Amino acid sequence: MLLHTETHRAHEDALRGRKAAGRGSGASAVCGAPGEQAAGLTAPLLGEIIESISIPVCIRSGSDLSILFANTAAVATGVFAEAPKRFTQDGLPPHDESRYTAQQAAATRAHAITEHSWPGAGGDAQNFEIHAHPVFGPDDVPLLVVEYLLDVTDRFRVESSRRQGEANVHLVLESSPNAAVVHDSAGVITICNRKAPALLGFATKEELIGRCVWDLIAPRDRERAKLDIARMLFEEKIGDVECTLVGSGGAAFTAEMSAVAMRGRSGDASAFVVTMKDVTERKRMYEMLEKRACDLRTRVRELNCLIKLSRLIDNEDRPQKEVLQAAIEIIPSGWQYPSITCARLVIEDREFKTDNYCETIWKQASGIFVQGRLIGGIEVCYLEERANAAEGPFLAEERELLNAIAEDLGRVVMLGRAYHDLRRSEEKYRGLFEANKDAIFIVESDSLRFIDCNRQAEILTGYERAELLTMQAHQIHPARLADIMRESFLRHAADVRCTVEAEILAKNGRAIPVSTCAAPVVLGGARCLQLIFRDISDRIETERKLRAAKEEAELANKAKSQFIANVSHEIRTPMNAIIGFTDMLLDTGLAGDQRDFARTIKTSADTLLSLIDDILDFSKIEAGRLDFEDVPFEPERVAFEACRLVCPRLASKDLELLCDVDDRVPPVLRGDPFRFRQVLVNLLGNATKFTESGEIELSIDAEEIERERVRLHVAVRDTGIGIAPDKLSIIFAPFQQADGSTTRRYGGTGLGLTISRQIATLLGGDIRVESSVGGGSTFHFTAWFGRETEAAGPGATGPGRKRVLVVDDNARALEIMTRRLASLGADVTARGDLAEGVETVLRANESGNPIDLCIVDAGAAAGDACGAIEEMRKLGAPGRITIIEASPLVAREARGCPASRFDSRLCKPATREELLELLRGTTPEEASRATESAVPQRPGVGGPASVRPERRSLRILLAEDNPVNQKLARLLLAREGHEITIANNGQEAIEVFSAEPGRYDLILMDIQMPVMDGLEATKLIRARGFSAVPVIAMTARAMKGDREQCLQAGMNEYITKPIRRETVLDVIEKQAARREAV
Amino acid sequence: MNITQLANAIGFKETEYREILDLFIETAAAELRDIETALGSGNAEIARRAAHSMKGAAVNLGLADIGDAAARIEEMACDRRLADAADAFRELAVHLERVIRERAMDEAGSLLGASRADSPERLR
Repeated sequence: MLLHTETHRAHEDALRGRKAAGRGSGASAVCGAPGEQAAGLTAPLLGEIIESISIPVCIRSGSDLSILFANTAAVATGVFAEAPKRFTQDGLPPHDESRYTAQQAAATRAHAITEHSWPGAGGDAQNFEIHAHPVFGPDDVPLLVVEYLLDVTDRFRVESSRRQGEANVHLVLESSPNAAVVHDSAGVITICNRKAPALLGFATKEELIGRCVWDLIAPRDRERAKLDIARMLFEEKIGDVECTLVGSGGAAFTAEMSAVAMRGRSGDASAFVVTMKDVTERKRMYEMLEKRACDLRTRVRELNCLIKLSRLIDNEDRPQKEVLQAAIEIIPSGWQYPSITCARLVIEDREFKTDNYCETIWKQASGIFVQGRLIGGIEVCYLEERANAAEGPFLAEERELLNAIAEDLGRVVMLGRAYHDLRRSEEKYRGLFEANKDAIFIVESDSLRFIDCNRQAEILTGYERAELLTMQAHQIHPARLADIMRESFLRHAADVRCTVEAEILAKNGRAIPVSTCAAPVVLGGARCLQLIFRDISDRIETERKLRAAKEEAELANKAKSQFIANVSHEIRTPMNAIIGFTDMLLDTGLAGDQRDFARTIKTSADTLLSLIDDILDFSKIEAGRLDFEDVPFEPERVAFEACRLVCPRLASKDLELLCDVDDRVPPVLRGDPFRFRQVLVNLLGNATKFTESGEIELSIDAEEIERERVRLHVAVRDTGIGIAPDKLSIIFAPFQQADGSTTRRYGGTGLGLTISRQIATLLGGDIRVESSVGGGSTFHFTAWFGRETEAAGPGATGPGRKRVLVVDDNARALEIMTRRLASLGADVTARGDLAEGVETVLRANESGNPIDLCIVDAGAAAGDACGAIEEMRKLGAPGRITIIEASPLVAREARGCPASRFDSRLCKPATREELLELLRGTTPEEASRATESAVPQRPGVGGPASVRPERRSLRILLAEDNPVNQKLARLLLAREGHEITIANNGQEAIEVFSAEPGRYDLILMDIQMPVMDGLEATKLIRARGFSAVPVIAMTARAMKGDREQCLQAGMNEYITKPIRRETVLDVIEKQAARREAV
Repeated sequence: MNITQLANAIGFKETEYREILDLFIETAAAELRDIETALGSGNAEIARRAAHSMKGAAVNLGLADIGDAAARIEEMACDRRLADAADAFRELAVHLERVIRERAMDEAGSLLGASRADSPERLR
């Protein structure tokens, strides 16, 4: 409203008048000055205009702000007043508020507005605005101030609710978990929550507000994001738009934005809410997951590849070639780009490749090793280039995969080989197993069930394999005795191989003899037995035939030997009669010729008898019935006995018989003294037979001494004709002599050495010979004998030291005698002739150590010896010197000095005891007698008194068929020093006894025996007139009345089995004593 | 089976007893076969003889079980009751087997143990 100053003034006046009128009537218009109608607008007109305005209007003077004019509406309000007014009690607005506003407007020269609120007519608060507008005059001084009152209650209400909404928006925004901003349609941010500046790197909200939201988006994403958001808004979808945001300072980050439109009442969108979320972390995570998923896919692919390979490998039945080819075809599937992957495998001289194989520069390879040895390689190529970041064409995993595959293939090859070897070995063994001529079973140890068998097992048993595999071992092994033994054997010796013979039961019930070999094996951890059966039917049959043939032959031989034995025996009886009667005939007064004839008969009969004895022994050897005793004996005594036995044959010859027993030989041994003596006699007999002059020496020493036994070495040396080397080997053969002519010249059967050698062999020794023609022979005989507990020998009781002079012209004899005497504790001086002997006696006397005993050999004393003997006796200590003649048992005819010149005579060779007695001062003849009476009739048998003082040694014939009982009795009785001869049945007992009835002191007779029982045998023995010999029955008491039967049969005593040592010994002793008493 | 006791009972050394026992086992096995055959073929006389023989040897060795069984067979064979002898025969076989086994164990023991005499079990 541009008014001229005057106009302005006029206006002011007009208004003033109106005002006054208004004030006066409340409705009258203000009347201005009359001059103020310059503008063409008269005050009344102006008043009219103002009055027509429905809102309260008041015009004030620009100078003093006095009211010039007010319309009715204004007056009605009571707001416009000249002076300040206080609030009315009814709450009318203060008038000075209007004035104040006008003042403001005037002062600021601008439109001023003040707001007011007061209660309206209805009691509700009403809101008003007082507007004051200055109007300037031409001099630019305030002319008027136009004031009007606006009721803004409605607007205010809207405003306040808008304000409230805005506050709500804030609240919502703040409560959002994300950064949120509100922008207007131009994109200018009007509101934001606290998270928004934080997210975008601003310090305060204010820094953010006013910015354009789009400027926050990185330029490259901006247009796309705007478009996406627009689409989102248009489609009213809720979603996220991902884009890069650039915050304060240029920091970029990935965010998700979403937008919602805020619609006003009209439904138009006036603002938009945009939320922003930093998804950098999530994105990173996604990427990582994505990569991982990718890795996983790779892994799965690789694994698939490996699994396929391993399945392939496990398929053992496929030939290795196929497996490898299939493997190579699987390989590409494990790589990232199977379609462009090719592979090649070279193993030794074999090559396998995929169809598309082509060598390229994008290649990886790995070696294949078997047991550390490179045997080939595997190669994978990409047909096209594929870069995998920094890793080259292949992933690290793929390199590992290739290595793994190479390893697997190495295993395939190795397995293949092993499998092949195994197969071959299995085939080989299966072949051996099946083709084996022996039946082989594998048996499970615990159940004894067959778990395998070969073809031969089927053939042998007649069972089908399938049948056998349901059976147990004992079903083909009937539990016979042999099998009981075998079973126990197997059970106890399951850990060792063993072979036994047994029978198996075939399906058809036939028992087949087999040799069984059982060996423990472990199959798959189970203890098994491998049983191998060999059909030995043929062998058994052959053996049976052989045995039968052998038995037949033996039987024939035995029969022959038996026949000879019988004949020999039959001959012996009449021979004994012939000898006996010839002796008797010789005692009668016979004429010279008759005597000669009778003597010849006697000699011949003796020879014949010894021949028969030899034949008997030989036939016994042939029949295997040469028995040996096991009793204590004194070897030295046996040796001297043997010497004495041959002495008579020396009588006619110029022969010296020497006997030397080494000190090492134990005084008592165990064995058979008769057989020992038999050998000695035979050897000595041979020596005397073939030696005309010189000497024969029997020497015995202990070659080997063990704890339990001793090997004696006997040497018989002669100075005879000797044996030619080519004959040495045949002299031991039966019926042989070195020369057919010797038989004629020397006689004999030629059996002696054969028998002797047999005996030596049976005693674990031998006989051999050293000889040269004209140089004599030496026979060496060795044999083992048991050792007996050492008893103190007779030498232990020393006779005190005596001085002995030995005179002998035979140097060897002198040496032996000297040594033996010395070993008995004598102080011996040896002299070769009598003159020296005399000299020695003299010297000894002079030295005060006179000779006690002088032994003069008969040979040395030949010729005129009497003088020397007398000399000696004179020179020797008076009444002290004893002079003994030593001469052979059978004295030679030519004697140098009569026996009466000597104090006594010593038989040569002299036993140790005889020498001992001599040293003790007893005369040798007495000593000799004493020795002989100690063991009447059986020199050499039985232990010395110190060994078995309580019992006498007896010769016992035992008739018993059971070998156990034989052995038992033999052991039992031999220990007591008895000598046992065994007969296997009654018949044999009669034969053996009848052959030498005088030999046996006692018969022990089993009752039940094959061939002939004990009762019958006893009856026959008694019937033959042998009533004295005690017969003791031994029976296992089968029947009542046995005892009576036994006594009736002529038996003396009755023992029941079990044989008890004391009982038997007592009974034997009793019976022996009884017999002696009779 | 205590060899020491058995040997002492009949006054023998252990080594001697073993020797005799082995002989017995050998003989008895043959006799057992004879008995078996005889029982099978009904030959009472052979059965009786074999049983008698085994009985005698067994009792001599102190093997009462075997002696008993053999005696029963002998008795039945005497009475011609071979059919009844089956039990006794079985018993005889069992006892004999036991003796064989124990002897085998004994032998094994003697092979394993250094010295029989030094073994503390033996001394006890």
